[in-house]
Amino acid sequence: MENMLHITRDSLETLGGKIITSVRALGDWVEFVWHVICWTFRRPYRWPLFFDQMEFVGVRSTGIVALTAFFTGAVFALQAGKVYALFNMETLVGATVGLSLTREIAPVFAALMVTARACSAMAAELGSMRVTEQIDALETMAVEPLQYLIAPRVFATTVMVPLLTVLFNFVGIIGAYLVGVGILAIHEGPFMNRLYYMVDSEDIIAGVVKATFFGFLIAVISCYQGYKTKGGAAGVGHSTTRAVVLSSVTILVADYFLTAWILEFIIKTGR
Amino acid sequence: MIEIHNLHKSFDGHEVLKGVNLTIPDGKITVVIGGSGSGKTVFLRHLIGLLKPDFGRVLVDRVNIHALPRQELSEFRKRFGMLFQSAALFDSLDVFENVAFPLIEHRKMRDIDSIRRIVEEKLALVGLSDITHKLPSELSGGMRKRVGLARAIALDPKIILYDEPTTGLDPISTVAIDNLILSMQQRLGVTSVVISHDVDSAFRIADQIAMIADGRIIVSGTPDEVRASEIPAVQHFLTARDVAERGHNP
Repeated sequence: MENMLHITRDSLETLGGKIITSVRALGDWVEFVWHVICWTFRRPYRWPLFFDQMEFVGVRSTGIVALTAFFTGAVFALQAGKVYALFNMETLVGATVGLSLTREIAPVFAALMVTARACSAMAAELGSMRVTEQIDALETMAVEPLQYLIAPRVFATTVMVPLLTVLFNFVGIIGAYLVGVGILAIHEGPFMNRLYYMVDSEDIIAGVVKATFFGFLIAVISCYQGYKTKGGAAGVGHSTTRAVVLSSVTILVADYFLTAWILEFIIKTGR
Repeated sequence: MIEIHNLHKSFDGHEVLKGVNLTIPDGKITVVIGGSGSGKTVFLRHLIGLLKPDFGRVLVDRVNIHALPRQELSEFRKRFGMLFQSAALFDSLDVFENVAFPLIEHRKMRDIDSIRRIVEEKLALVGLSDITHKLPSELSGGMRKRVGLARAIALDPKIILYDEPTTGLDPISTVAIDNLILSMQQRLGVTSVVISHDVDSAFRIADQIAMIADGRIIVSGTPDEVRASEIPAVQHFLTARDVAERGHNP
C-alpha cells in the first residue's frame, strides 16, 4: 500500500513538473512574441535587413513553390478527373481544384515549403549565432537582437508566405488546366467556366489570410527555437529539428481553427 | 567604478554565484581568477547585463544596470566593449565589416572613407593590418581575438570586459594579448575586467586580482597581497600549475 502511494506521488510529481515546464515555456514564447512585435515597430527601421529576408524567404522560394504547385494541381486534376468521369462530371475538375487550392492546399503547402526551405535555415543560423556568442556580442554592442535578427525574419515571412500562396494558386491551376484539358481532354470552355463560377475572390482572400497567419507562426516558432538554442552543434541540430516539426504541426492545427473561423466570418455561404 | 553587491545566481536549482562582493576601480586592470566552473564567466556576464541576478546589484558609475528598462540598458552598454572567449565575430561579415559594425550602428557613419580610417586605426592598435577583406574563418585564434578587441574598442568604450582572452592560445600569442590588454589600459585609460584561469597572465597584467571560488570572492587585492594570502584555496590554485609542471618534468 505504502509502495503504491509512493509510486502515485512520484507520478503526480513528474506530471506536475511537466505541466509547470510547459506553462513556463509557453509564457516564455508569448513574451518573446510580444517583444518581437514591439521591436518591429521601434526605430530605427531596418529596411535593408527586411528586404534581404524578403528575398531569402520569398524570392528564393519561388522555384520550389512553383514546382510543388504545378504537380499538386496536376495530380489533383488527374485524380479528380478519373473519379468525376464515373459520373460524367469532368467539367467540375477545374472548379474542384481551384476551390481546394485557394482555400486549403495553397496556403498549407506554401507554408510547409517555406518551413522546409527557409525556416529551418533561420533556426540553424540563429542557433549557430547563439552558441558562438554572436547574439551576445550584438547585445554588448547595444544592438537589440530581437530587432536586428528576429523582426526582419518574422516580418518578411509574414509578408512573403501569402504572396507565395497566390503564386501557388496560379501555377497549381495551370497544372490542373494542362492535365485536365491537355491529357483528360476536358473541354476548355466548361472547365474554365465552372472554375470562374465556383471560385470567388472570397476564397482567394480566405487562403491569403490563412497564409498570413501561417507565415507569422512559422517564423516566430523557428526564430524562437534558434534564438533559445543551448549547447553546441548538437543543440543547433535539436533546435532545427524542433523548429521544422513544431512549425509543420502548427500549420496543420492552426489550419483547422482558421478554417472554422473563416467559414463563419469570411465565406458565409459555406459552399 | 563598478560595484558588485551580494550577487546571487542559480541555474536549474544549482547556485553558481553565492553572494559576490567586489569593487572594480576606474582606469585599472582587475583580473578575476578561478578554476573551471567557479562562476567567473557568469560573474562577467552580470557586469554588462547579459544575465540578470537572482539577488544583488551591479552598480556601474552608481547606476544599477539590472534595474534599467531593456532599451535604456541597451544605450548604457555603449560604455562597454567586450571581448568574448571565442571572439564572437560575425562569420558572415569580413574583418572590415565586423569592426565597422558598431560605427555604422551607433555613430550612423555613412562616409566609407571615414569608416575605413577608423577601422584601420583600431586594427593598427591591436597590431593588425592588411586583413580587412578576410573572413573570420580565415583567421587564426589569436588574430580573431585581436579583431574582436578592435571591434570592442571601436566606439571608444570606458570599460572593456575580457572573457578568458588567452584561453586556447600558444604562449607567444598569450603574451601578445597580455601586452595588448596593458597597452589598451595605458593608451586609452580604460577600466579593464579580465576573467582568466591563467595565473601567469593574471599576475603579469593585473593592478588588482580577485579570486572566485565556490561562487564567492575569497580574496582580492594587489597581486602581491593575493600572492601573500594564506587562504589554502588561494595557495592551492596559485601553486597547482607549478605542481603540475613538476609532475610532468621530474
